[in-house]
Amino acid sequence: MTTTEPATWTQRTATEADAADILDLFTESDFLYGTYRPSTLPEHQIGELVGDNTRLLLADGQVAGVYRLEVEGSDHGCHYVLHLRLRAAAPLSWWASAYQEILRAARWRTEIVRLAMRIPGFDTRGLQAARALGLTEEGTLADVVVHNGQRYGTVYFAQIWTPES
Amino acid sequence: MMLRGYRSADAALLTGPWLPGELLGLPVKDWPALAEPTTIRPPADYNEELGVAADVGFARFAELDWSHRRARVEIGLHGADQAEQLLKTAVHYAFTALALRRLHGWVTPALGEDTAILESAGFARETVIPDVLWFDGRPVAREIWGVVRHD
Repeated sequence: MTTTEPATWTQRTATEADAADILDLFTESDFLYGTYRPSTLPEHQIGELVGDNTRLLLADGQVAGVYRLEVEGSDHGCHYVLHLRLRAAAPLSWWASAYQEILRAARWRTEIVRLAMRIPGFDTRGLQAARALGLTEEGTLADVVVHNGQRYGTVYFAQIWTPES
Repeated sequence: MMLRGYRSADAALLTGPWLPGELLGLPVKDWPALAEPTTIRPPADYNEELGVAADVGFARFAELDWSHRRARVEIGLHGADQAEQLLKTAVHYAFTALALRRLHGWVTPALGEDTAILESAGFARETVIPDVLWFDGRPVAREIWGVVRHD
């Protein structure tokens, strides 16, 4: 996979033809999308994780990662949580451009006041990306995840836009 | 230009980067690459009519009120070239084939579309509804444009 800056990001839901690409993503031990142990998940569980709500993220037409945006909190509270993962070969700059494109699309037809991302404390790549995106690091919910025999917290990140009303 | 009934082979015409319900449904400039396009459903009941201009676009007559002979209209096109012709064809179809008396539609000024096409098809601006739609990161106004058959 080339790591030059992609000219275009596109998204779509996965089809059967994408199965090999998706399984390939989850062979990466830190492809932490909806799971803390991606490389040991069986195929059917990966299929459930990358369900209808997940979008394949394509950089110049090639599968580069996955994401989904979920409503959180109160009904119509304009509060969302973003689950985003790019494959290990994607440089940090890809995270920034993918995040901006996801945001632009998400805020196109919907008001978002708070967008949250939650990263486990052992996820070096995810933490580095979230910090590079300029999200506010709000704090850590301590000792909620066990990984390689150690306990880690979940780090809360968010971006907030002042509500219109 | 002629309108004909919807066929399943026309499905690709029903999806595009335009605002839902927009009277003049032309591709919106700078539509985000990751934003879902708008899709209208194929006609499924008698409360709407969908006329297809083959390989060009569609004219949808929604909220059909057969008693008062009115409908809300929207067109969808993948290019601007034939917008005026499709709109005029839609008005003619509504007034002659459907025997409607009045059509109205939503126009979003923030899109910056040329309203001369609407006027050319007989539509006039009737009212402005402030902050009625979330678009491009902010609430925007929409206008109602209507055309009435006078004969």
